[in-house]
Amino acid sequence: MKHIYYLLIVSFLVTCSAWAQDPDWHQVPKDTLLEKGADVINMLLSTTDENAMLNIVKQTGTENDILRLKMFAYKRLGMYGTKAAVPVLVEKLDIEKEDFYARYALETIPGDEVDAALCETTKTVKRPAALAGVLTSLGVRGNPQSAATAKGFLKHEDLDVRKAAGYAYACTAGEEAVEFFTQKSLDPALADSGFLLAEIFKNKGEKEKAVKIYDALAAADIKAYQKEAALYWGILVRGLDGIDLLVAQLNSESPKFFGVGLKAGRELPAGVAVTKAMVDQLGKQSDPLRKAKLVRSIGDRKDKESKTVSLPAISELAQSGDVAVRVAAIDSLRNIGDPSVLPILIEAANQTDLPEVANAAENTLRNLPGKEIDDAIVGLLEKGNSAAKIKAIGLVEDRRIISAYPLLKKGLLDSDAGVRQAAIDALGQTAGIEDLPILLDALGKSKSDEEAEKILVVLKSACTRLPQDAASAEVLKLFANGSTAMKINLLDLLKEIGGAKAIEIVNQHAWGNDAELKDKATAILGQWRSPQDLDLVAAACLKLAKESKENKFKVRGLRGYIRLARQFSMPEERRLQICREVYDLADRNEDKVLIFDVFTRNPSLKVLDVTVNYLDNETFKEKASETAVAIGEKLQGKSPQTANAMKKVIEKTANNSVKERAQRVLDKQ
Amino acid sequence: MIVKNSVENSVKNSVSASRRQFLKNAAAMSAVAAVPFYISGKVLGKDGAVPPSEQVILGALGIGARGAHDFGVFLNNPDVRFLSICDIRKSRREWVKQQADAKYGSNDCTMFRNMFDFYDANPQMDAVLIATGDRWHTMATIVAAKAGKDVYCEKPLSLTIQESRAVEKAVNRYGRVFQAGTQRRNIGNFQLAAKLAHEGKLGKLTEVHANTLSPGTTHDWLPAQPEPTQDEVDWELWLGPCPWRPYNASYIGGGWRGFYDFHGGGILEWGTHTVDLCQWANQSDDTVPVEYWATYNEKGEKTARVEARYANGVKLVCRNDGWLGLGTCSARYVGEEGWVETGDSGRMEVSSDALRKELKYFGMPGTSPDNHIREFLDCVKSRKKPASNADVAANAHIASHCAKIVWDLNPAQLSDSAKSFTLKFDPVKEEFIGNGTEVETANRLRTRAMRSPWRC
Repeated sequence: MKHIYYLLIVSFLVTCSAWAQDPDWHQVPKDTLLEKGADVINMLLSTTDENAMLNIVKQTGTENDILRLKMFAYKRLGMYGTKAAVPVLVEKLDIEKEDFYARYALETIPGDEVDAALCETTKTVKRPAALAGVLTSLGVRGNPQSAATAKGFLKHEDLDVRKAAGYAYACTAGEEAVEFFTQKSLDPALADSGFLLAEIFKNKGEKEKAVKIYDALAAADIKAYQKEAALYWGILVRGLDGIDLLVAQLNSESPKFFGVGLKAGRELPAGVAVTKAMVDQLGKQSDPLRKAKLVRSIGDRKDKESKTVSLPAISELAQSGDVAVRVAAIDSLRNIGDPSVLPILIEAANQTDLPEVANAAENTLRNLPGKEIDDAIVGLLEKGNSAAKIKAIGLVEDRRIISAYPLLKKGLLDSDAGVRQAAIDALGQTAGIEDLPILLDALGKSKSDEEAEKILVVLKSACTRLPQDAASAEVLKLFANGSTAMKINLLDLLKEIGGAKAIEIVNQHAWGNDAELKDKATAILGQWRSPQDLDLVAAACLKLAKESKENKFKVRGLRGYIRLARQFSMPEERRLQICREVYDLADRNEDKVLIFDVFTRNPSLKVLDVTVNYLDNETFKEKASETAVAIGEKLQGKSPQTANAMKKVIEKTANNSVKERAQRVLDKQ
Repeated sequence: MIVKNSVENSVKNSVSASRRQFLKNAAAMSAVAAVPFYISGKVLGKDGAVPPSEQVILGALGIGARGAHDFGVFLNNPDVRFLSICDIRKSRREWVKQQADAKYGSNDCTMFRNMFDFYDANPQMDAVLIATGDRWHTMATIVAAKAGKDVYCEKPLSLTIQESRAVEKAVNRYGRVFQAGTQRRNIGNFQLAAKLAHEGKLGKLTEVHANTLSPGTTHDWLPAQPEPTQDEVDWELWLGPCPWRPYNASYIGGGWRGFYDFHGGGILEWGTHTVDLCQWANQSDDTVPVEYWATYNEKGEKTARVEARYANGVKLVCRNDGWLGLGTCSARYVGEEGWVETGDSGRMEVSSDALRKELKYFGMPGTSPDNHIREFLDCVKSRKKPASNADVAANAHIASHCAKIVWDLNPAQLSDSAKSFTLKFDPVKEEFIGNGTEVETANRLRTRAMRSPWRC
């Protein structure tokens, strides 16, 4: 049977090859072609022979079945076609549904012949949509010889044709098109093409031509947002010569044009002239929200050269006045500030009556570089009031001021609860292994579940940064005397720490005598997150699954073990081995079935083969069918294994939807 | 103009699992955007209401599963006023309207099937959330930019190299604010990982690894089914600029993935996040790798792993295996002195205890767009470029497309006649360089025609 199949394939390929060489082959009845559809597609996908593609394209008709085959041929012509394909392709440019595919191929075929043929076709194509498509293709190809053709359609009655002509004209005409796109009575529908042309000149460094077009667009009778864009580029392309235009926008009553000024001002190159012009406009802004936006735009320029101009003005605004403006100014000091602004920031950070101002100041202090800033923060921590201390503690942590770390520990003893909590938070982000006992001690002395929970979060934060086994050893010390509730917290902490020592401790409790700890420890083994502990945690879970006397823990072990196969990275053979073990060890079908999820998430031909074995299993044949199809859908390329698997699914499953999916996968093989 | 985002400040402000979490979240955002722009209505003296001048009037285009999540986050920002929905599916239009009207206690949300009508009817709209299928992202962004709207667009942005650049050009041409939905640039663990690379904590960077999925796509069609009414599902508009094919309900329900005409395959699906992260870590936001090659296993079978090399010598590895299991969309940066790996779980793994000291505890999953959307809204007001602006997103997409092209063109199985090859790419001219059929074909695959009347 197999031999006959191969013979058929070989004979078909020979026929295809003959077809490819036979100039009249397209006269082969369409029915024959369609009957061999899958093989024709395979042939097309494996050949670079242009004739083979053209022979399919030459077929008449656009019904779905023949268009599907032609679609493959057109796409391949787009990849491998030459000028020899052009006469065949241009014939298709006025055929609905097919014209697009012809353009798909034509747009990428190199050579002036394509452009000439497309230009010629504009004389005969009747449908506006097709004509617009051809003009678009001329634009995409960008051949200057197509400009005259594009120009001829700039006043066409159909809007889409006109727009396409404008696009093609802008892409092909160069200097000649400047006059058209700068005319006072420019068709608004063609404004987008004017922007395109201006951009082409801008990118070529032909600034004057670009400015001329942007100015004309700004003055034309077009939409306001298009004028915004024209002004924006008018400013940027002019550079320093655009300052007057920039200032005009910054003083415009229109929020949109004001926005143009903000954006252009931010993006103009650094330099005193621009920055000064922007700073000068601050006093003219009566609306504090507008003023705040202008302050931010000036700050975002990060123009350190012009600090003498901007820093005094921004510093003044940071100290008093409208909150929105103050916040903007304080934020901007992050970009242009220096140690001289420190008193302003410290004072603002202490304004508890204005939390937005205080928060902005804290944020700027967090980011402003300099040892002077560090020293001032330390001073605040040593001598400030409680509110100041809390802020300073956070800043010490964020700025990593190592010399002040001892002061953080001192904060743990502060009489103010807020300061103590801030110190604990900060230690979570700064603690070394030597500090861990302090935090663990705080956990042991916590006065409520809520407090313990907070400290636990901090401890977890610290433990992500500490050497694993050393941290676990510190945690272990607390097991000697802690309450059960405390030990449960510690087990959670060990999960965060990870590493061999942590697993060892958790495993001891999983086999211990305390029922509550045993329950927690076995649960934690099934949730282990550190991927580098795979071997150890796998061994612990498997032992639980094999040796536990209590069914609950046996199931937990099994589920923890299969989770590793599902979620952790490992060689395929090991993954399959885990699945085999779980399937054999599990008593319940609801546990055995978990292996299929592993298969679906990790598709390969080998996994598919394993899945197929379960198609003969009455209990799992439907799940295996669904899984095999899901794998088949994910696998790339073709293979006899996939084809055979899908055939077997079709034979075994009673689920019609799965059957249909299997057939679709099979059809692609 | 490329905005290179220094992570130095942002990481200092990243999320901490402390009671100061809110402040730090805000700070993390602001350090990226440098514009913590939203100030409560109370402070602005409007009885708790956001003044109209500070509201962002929003519309949405194509709201499926991911879009619904983004939409919910937008709606939860107090300075957003949702105005209108455009979707080719009636059921989705109605669902979005129901959510928006319930939020505002009104019946004001308007519904449209066609985006031109949507924009014509809503001139007051400032910004639009685009969460259509991938096939529409480029064109929808271009149309929105031409209509004067700022855009938050889900990824991948494009189906080709040329489309990637077209998005950037359109956004900049019309002076719009654009944020790609690559939210990991605004999430603490990814910021910290990039910072470790930037500050030399890993030593000289040698490799960056991007978690991608299987690259393959198919050209074939699903069987034709009867088309629903245009009002229920507008199939012509669903296809939009893509090649025509007959209707099948599976496409509409998300089954378009894996089809070449609609989807860039697994490298684009995740690479637009993770290659983007690698570009950032390598400080190559303004360029792309210059060499790409497919890889083969010992049996000569092509694997899902594609590799590339930047001009600075750093290797980019796109792979879907061998990850530590730190969550989806993982990234790993390897230097001469150590490595860091992180993923959507927020967890990080490093190569040494010395590097472990640098780590922080992050609570926000990598899939959360909260910070990213907030940053976008701030930038709509300030007119600043956000973290995932069109410039950096275009390059991450182009790198991903180059990887997909080299994978597509290399043989599935090596043999005496079928040899593997490397493609060299000129990031300035944006073309593959060299001679031979493979190079010419690769260059042709940089672009695809669009159905009339669409064009980039």
